[in-house]
Amino acid sequence: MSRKRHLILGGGSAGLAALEQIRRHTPEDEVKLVTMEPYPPYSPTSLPYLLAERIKETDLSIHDEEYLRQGNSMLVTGKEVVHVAPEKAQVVYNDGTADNYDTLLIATGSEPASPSIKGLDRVGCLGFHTLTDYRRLVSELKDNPDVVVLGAGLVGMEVASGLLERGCSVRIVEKELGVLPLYFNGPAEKHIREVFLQKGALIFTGKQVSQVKRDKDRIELIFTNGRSLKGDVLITATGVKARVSFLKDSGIKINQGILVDKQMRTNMPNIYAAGDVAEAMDFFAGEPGLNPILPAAVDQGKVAGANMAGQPTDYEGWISMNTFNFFGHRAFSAGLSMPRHQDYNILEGDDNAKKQFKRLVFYEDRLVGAVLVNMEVDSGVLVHLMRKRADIGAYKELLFERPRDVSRWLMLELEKKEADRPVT
Amino acid sequence: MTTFYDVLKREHGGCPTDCLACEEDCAREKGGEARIKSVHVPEVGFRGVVSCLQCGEPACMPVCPVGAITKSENDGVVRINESKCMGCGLCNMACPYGGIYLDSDNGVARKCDTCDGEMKCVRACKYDVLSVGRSRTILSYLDEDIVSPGTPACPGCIGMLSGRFALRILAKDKRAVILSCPGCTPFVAAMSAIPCQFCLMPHVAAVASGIKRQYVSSGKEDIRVIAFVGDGATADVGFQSLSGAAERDENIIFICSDNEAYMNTGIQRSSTTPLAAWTFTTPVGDFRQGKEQKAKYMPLIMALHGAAYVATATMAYPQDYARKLTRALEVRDGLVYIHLFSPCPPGWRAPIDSGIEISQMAVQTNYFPLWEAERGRFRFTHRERSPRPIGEFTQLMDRFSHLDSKALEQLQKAVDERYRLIESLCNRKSQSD
Repeated sequence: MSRKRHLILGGGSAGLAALEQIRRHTPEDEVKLVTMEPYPPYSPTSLPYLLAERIKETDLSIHDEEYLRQGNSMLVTGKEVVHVAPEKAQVVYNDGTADNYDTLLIATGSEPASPSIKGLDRVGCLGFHTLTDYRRLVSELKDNPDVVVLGAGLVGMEVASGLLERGCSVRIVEKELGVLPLYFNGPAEKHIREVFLQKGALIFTGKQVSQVKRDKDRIELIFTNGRSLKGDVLITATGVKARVSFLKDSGIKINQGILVDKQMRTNMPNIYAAGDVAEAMDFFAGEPGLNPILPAAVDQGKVAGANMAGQPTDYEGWISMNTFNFFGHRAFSAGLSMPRHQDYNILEGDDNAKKQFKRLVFYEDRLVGAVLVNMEVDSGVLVHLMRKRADIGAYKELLFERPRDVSRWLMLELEKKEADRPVT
Repeated sequence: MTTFYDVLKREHGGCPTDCLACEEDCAREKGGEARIKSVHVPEVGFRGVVSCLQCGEPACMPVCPVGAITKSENDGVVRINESKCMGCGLCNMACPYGGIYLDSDNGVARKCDTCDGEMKCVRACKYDVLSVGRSRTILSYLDEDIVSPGTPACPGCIGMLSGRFALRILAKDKRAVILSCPGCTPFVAAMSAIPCQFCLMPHVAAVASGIKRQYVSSGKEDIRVIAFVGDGATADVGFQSLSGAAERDENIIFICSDNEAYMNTGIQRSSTTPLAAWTFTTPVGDFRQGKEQKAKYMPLIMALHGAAYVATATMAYPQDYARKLTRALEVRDGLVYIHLFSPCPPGWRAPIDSGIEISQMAVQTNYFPLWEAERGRFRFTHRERSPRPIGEFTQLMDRFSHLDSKALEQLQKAVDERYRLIESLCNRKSQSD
């Protein structure tokens, strides 16, 4: 068997997970990982913690560079792909050089999706997506400025909490009616919002920004209702989109992200995609969709890597999930956490004094969604019950009453059932 | 290569209601919250524990955004670099087993590190719920290869590989002799560092019985007598003496390396050659399409002798194979029979590097199920969740390349029938227990 040459574009979680699988299955093959970032691989998930000064910049690297270069692996930093030519099995970089591959993984992640607001491009707003963004932001924080965070999604709220922990004054602006609108609503949203308010944040939800202006040193946001808000620094965190612009003319099929099959293959031979850039199977919906979160990127990277190394592996589909830690509080949301359809059976409870909230969502006999705020529970065990489609029928109330112990027990029962599975 | 580590094993439930010994000792050892957690659901009468399983491919590890979780190559333990951990909780969300959690005091992730192998919780457990899985002992057998390097066998010979592997476990201390006879298998015997005895094909089990008895009568009961021969010397020519030895409960280890034909003499059918397979004596042409009879299923015949220990094994599942060989070492009161699946690339008309792949597929299609039987009590040691169709096995070699869909269907039927038979025997065991 001749040695294969695998090429991975992107040093995020998906790329690294794929690299690991290829090394495991075919250590004799060559793997090259190319990242556009000038740094060795790190995860943007850690940047808010860096901002909050919980970790140091030296803690960021996921692996030693030496580890990534050992064996038949190669790491190239600071190189951006500008073109992919499937017919030549070749990629072209911004410095004019090119690489050929036997298999290619596109794991180029996402980039900030900036909203179309008049004047936004002229006032010098900051993003928060890369280490470079972080450094730029920190350099602007010297004079203790008023910071406006546009967007109360996970990135926005994590940046806000990091800034508040540093002692900055923070205003959060969100066009939806609540913070973290994709993951929390009702009492859960209220608890989170109240903790932020207590920590000194000002929160403006349900506010659409019509225009942004620079007024001397300050930036002014004008809302559609005519009111306005001023700050010294503006950070936009209004969501992300798949980083696919370089694939124009490549023939690779793209919807919102790169379309992939169960084995994370694109429509082009030997080209795979995984992570934020890929539009992969939604576990519950059974159709493709974007889910730019780290655990999904890892899972997809693993599947892509195994298939690239010749180990046929299917992707089970992603489940939306998030865990959000702020000022010693914890909020977790997974699956169909806010169903609108009446076929779902919802158990819900709230303790305002303890800022605790729990909601479990069932479809027939299965757990399909969960929201838990400040509850002691193994979130992964709940996700496992969803993924395994565990029959919870008779134990819904019990699980709701004591989620931690009962979910652990149900997981153990599942495991036992797998081990003793009768031979049929 | 597969690596084996010692692991914490836990029974499913079974803790008495008032016992928290493991949690208490763990908390004392580690300070703060115990890393093993009791699970108490009185409503359903359940009381057990959860803890980290030190997974082979830990789900927590790749989701850590700062790479603070690592698995040691040395002892297999998954550890957290607590100074790097930022407390994001992604590990807890990725772990299906409740094995890693955020400490309620300082918010960093914590988990069981097996007390670096000491496992204080196991010592504390008085009710056999917790124990140590000593798979590392298997590893210790693999240090030394007592068969000389190089091979006179054909390239890609799985029989040679399986024999070499077997002797690492069965004859590591060199307190063993090995028997062989004409065929492909003498290569293993002749190149090993233990005494070997050659005899004719019909006599192997008889000669082995005699040698063992001689050792016993001279006070050397511990000398193991191993026969390593092919399917001809087992199922055809050697059947009578083997059957007799099993009936007499001779304490010998008889290993059949089944390559499903007489390969050494130029690919002629044996009684273990499968239905429809091509050999030079079961040709494919206008009048015949390969072998017209089904294979004799030797391991089952041996198990029905009530032999002390019978198992099927393949090099593609080395951990399973190693465990069965280790079990064979313990048998002192009867005959051990191990039936090896040994693809022969030249004889099966398959690529020389495909032996392991073929072996894997043989198990995955249920063509070669993995099971063991102790004195007629059967047990599967591996089960396929969704067996692949037999066509995925036959397509890997040209001895089946003439099969049409009808022939394939018949072969599938033979595979299914055989599987169901073993299955019924395995189920019978669970009913009687």
